[in-house]
Amino acid sequence: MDHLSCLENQSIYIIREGYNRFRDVAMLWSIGKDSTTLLWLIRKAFFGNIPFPCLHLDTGYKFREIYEFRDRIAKEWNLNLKVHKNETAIARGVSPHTGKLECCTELKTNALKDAINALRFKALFLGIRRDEHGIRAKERVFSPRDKQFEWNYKSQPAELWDQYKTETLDDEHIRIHPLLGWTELDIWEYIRREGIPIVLLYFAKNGKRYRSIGCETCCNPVDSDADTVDAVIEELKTTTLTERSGRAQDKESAYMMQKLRSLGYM
Amino acid sequence: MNLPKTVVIGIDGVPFDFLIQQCDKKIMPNLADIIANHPHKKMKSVYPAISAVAWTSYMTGRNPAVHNIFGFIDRNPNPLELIINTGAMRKCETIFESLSKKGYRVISINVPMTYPPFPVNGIMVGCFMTPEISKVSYPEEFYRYLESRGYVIDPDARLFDESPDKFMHDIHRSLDARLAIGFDILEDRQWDFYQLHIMESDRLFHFFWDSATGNGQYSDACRLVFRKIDDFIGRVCSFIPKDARLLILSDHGFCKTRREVQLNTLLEKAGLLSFVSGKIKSLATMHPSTVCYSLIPGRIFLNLSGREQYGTVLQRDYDTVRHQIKDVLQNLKDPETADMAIDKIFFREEIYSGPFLHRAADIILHPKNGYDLKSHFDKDHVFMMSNISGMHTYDDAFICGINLPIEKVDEIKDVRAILES
Repeated sequence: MDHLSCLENQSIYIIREGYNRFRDVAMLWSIGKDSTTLLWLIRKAFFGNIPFPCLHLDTGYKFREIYEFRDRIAKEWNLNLKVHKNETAIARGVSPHTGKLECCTELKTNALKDAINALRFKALFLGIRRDEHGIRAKERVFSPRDKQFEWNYKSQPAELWDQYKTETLDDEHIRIHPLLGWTELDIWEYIRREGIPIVLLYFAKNGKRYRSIGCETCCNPVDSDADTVDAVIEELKTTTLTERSGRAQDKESAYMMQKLRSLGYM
Repeated sequence: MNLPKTVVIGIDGVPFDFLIQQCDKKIMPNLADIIANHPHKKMKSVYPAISAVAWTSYMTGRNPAVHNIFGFIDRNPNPLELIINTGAMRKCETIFESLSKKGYRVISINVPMTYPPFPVNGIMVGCFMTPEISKVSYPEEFYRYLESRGYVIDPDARLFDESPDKFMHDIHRSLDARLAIGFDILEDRQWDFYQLHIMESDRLFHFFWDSATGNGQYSDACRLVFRKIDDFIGRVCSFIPKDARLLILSDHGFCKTRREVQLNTLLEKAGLLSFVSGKIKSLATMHPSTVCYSLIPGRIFLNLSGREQYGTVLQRDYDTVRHQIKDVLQNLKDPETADMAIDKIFFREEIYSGPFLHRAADIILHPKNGYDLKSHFDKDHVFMMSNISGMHTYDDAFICGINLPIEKVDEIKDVRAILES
């Protein structure tokens, strides 16, 4: 079996296993290339009818193209789309302009906590990959979170020879990562093979393209002429830039900004 | 190797007159003894009068167009983005490095813009911008000692909104740790040049100006801050040898904030700044027709063609446009009192010179005392009230020295020369 089919089979196995174990599940759909690939795989796993909701955490700052894509695909694929916003924080005036770290915490992290509590999901499918970021390399396919939604990286179950831990304590919930072993290049090659629709922001326009998308306020395009899937794949084979280099901030500068803002220095 | 042992105590943002009053009121008896017998004077800061720029000018002895630090934040013109300045952006050598090279043993604790901490012949503990304790020191492992002693990088100003009590408590917690650990380092380690920086005074004046200078709910807590600082000065004086040099200085003064002045809102109202419609107003959503925009404090950048990502102001119009902007700004009046808000308007080449002049703002405003120049993009009003009660001033920093010719110092960048000779 070729590499992509192998990845596809593994992912579909994980998706079915996760649903079979937990039932009260949802998938987190950021509308980016990874979670849209995950969505594609979940549709395959259930022959076109996804038996659980797709959750979009809407910060209100996503690109217009993202919203349009979301609404079009949700309709075409007949998704049970649930859009969740942290309205309390937004009413309080939290925004990227008042502090990016707080904004992310409130409009993404806390919005997710709210959604899980309100909709009572026992497990969530996410499209994260080990090669995205150092901290994600330590992730598990079935990854427990405690009551406070904390991920204790010191007590993660071993996943030797693909033996997954699917039992949970009552106050835990599980994050399921069917794409964990995929690389950015695998994703693009699979998108090409399957013809998966993705947001056009990933393709170059006027010499720039987005390699990673999220909120418009916090994403920058990279220099690129790759305007087709083929060209993107060629670019990825040679680039030395990291995938998330266009994302606004690492934690360190976010910390400094918060510090300077609290002192009125910015 | 012929410089006597030297101790520098930096008390951030403390105005000359304020310290003299503390001496007169016997809140700072040790400092009172020093100024009774040694020269002390008012010192000018730097434009703009903020710690990042002032302390970098102190440690390099140079003006911003040479050392390249023009504020806590800056912007890259193309691609247009906001950046945070750290010590890594500094373009010239510091006194800590040059003394180290000459073989002097150097200890520096908490001096602004010393994050990331850099190699010295001794120990460097980074400043308040340090994001976590494990990154605070050179040599790196020294942080373990600091951590074990309960060192605090900086009080958390976000606490003020939650409760001023909590923030005041945090100021004392941080100050106590810094002074105690700082003195132990002075006693226990080898040094020829030792500098300890106190940031808590700046925080106190920003958030508790009325209590610090008059009678308020927090006046006792404020007095206690200066008693603790004075106690530290006293202990240092009794510890160091008679022929040692001692310098006590601040980097700028302070005054009460009357109003915040939102320069970007002013520029927008004057038709010089506009944003792409339907977007949240920010640096990233400026309309290409923008003539200029502002960054804190009081820095105006032209949207210059060939330099700025979406620049449209022609190079040949540069000076004409600067004069037009100056005309718009110089008569800015507080709508309630009709007082003038702007004291001086400089074109960059009038106050800076050096290889990084091109990175400076095109126009630099210096406000009248009381008008704190801010540059948010999304405010509706030019003149606003503030929850920050004190703001920086330019010409009343404090300096006093034992065995040092401080009469040679006019502004903060002159200090390095007297320390190195």
